[in-house]
Amino acid sequence: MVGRFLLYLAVFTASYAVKAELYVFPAPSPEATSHTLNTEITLYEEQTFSAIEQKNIDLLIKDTYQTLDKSNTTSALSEINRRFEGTLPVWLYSAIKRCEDWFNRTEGNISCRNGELYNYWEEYIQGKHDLSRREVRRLARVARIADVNFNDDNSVAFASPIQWDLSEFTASLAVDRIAHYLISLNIRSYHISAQGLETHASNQGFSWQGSVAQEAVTQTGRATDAVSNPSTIAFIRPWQRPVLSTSKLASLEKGVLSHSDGWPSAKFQSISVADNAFEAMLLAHFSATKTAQQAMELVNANPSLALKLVDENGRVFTSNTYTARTSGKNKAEKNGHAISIDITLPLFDIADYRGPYVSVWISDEKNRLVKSLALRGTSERWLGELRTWWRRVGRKNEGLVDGFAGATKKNAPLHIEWDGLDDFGQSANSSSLILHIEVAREHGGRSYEKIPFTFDSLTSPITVTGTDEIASITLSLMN
Amino acid sequence: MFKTVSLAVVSALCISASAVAAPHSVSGIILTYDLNKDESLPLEEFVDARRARFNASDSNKDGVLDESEYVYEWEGKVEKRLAEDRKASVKQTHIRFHAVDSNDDEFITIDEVNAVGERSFSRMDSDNDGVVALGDPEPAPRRSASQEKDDKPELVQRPMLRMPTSHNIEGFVTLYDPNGDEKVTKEEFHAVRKAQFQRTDENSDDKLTEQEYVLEFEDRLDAQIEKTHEGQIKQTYVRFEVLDTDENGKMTFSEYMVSGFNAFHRYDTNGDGYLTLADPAPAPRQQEQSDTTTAQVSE
Repeated sequence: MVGRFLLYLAVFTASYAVKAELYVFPAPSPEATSHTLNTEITLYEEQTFSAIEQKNIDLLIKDTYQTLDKSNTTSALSEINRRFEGTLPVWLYSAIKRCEDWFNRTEGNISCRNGELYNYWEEYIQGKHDLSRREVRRLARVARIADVNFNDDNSVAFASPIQWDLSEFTASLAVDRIAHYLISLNIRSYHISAQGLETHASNQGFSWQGSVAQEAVTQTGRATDAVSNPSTIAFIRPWQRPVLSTSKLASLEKGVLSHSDGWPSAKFQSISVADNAFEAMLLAHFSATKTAQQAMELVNANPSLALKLVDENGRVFTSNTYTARTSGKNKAEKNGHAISIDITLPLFDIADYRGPYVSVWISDEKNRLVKSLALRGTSERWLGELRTWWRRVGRKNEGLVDGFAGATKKNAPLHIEWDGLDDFGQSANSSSLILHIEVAREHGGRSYEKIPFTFDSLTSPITVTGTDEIASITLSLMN
Repeated sequence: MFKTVSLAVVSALCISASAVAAPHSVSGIILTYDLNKDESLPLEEFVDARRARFNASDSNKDGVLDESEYVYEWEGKVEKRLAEDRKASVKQTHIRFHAVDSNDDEFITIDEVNAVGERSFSRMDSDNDGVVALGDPEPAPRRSASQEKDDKPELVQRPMLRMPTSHNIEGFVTLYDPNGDEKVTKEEFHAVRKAQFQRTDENSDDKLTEQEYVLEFEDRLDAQIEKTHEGQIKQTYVRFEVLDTDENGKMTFSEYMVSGFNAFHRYDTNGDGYLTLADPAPAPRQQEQSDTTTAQVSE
């Protein structure tokens, strides 16, 4: 049953209407319909699907759901999980292998190995046993330290604690398979949406705004979050989400299951951007459960990714390229202002040198916090030594410290890109701003610098030479 | 003959002590019952707050608490406090990781573990004989960060979740004395810590990540939580039986208040009818210590 609709979509970057066609593919099984949405495909540029093409897409979706459904004991995945080895269809082999790449990059915090853990949770929901935090941690650990071998012929062999489980990522893998099929049909301008995922590709360079954008609009009151280049946005809002749900039951526990300790966590609403749906979804899961620092470090080191996190108080954290990736323009054009801040710290050649605590933030003229930019150090004892910051910011914002503070890093320089938006994703109201930098070091000193600036005054960069714990600060407008 | 009598007194003391359901510190009582948050708890406010709590526990509204109502109410409190304590403890573990990782490379090596170990061993070995043994003098107390900042006493709920400590001689010897001779040599100390390091090092690469470090601690923490939870619930059943003096299985408000008044008067050391932080701490309870000590007290 494939629905077909003719649509005229308003286009945001151009003022003319583009003819587009929407196809709706229902979720494939009764089980799935209880908690998944239809897959919707929009084609642009006068393109249409033939009947056979629609049927093929329907089959791709069905096959993906059936292969990853754990209750389907005859699937290729169930087969290798029984024998601890075997050959997989190319798409599935590739997915598991990519998941393992992420596994290695994140110390097992993104993992597709946790079938036993998910089974345990499922049995718990069914009332078969109590929930033990030590047991779920053990299940995650034994899967994490088990060995696995991949071979070039799409076969894999692994130790028994591993049971591959990609059921949380079913919709994203279906989207990727469809996108792959569309490209093989030479369709280059499309939009696919399924279950919190939005995949978009276009050779026209126009932007679109999907359901994620609407969510973000209500969050920020701004029309942002549209994507231009071929990208996928995945979206997780963990607070009301059951940790695990089956066709009949859902857990009372809310959040996203952390793949490293098997316990639910709900730190952030996560909007992640990647060049394919599967990895966007992996990143969304990971970042919903980790600190903002951990997630941003991972994302900023990888040009194909971008991320926006919103905590329960509405405080927003974005990766360096998020605004640019989701606007279709660069940061400066998008918000009017974007600046980069570079701070160097001196190295002290002493035996008990400990990396300093550092806070960087922007305030208005009346010292009211506009944006927290960096926070190195997690101990409240020592954060209190950043006295100016602690008095004006830290002591009033406990959630900020918990979600944002990261480790000290010796005297590694700080490079910060600021998109001109405040802590809650709004444009900074004031044009006269103050950049604050405070550094305190155990057995060392404390230094504090403030640099008043306006965006207009930054036509040439401002460089300030610091004293004691701060070497230099450079503030410049980004192109 | 005399000995028999005094032991009977001792066991009676034990029971009345475990019958105090209220928190075991003046801070805890003020935090729990000071409804207007003025850090001072007059007797009337205490009685009103206990009444409100009694009524809230009385889920079938028959004016008395039966055993299940009483235990259920306490279990809810226990679970809430254990969850709060757990969160604080895990947060502290992350901070400890960075304190041990002295070169800030995001890994803890055995050398870094040993450097910290050397310091804590010599702190405990205050008589400098190379051995920490039961009966050695206790080390000087550390000044905490809060003391440094501000000498004003603060209202702090004492943690319900307490991990074995290595900061006193007895705890130190319990943790680091595998051969049970009641003393810890430096070799034993380092050997135990090395074994713990290896257990924590999941992938055996001779360095600990923050995740490995925290997960290992959480295992011990959760074991302790299970033990504490079980002990607390068991104790609550015992307490119900003790407080239900007429043994009819129903606790009246006045039976309920016996434990409340016991606690109030114990901590109102200056006897002015107000619990405040200005009340000097009461003498420590003696019945928790060994028989000989208790026998002396009962004389």
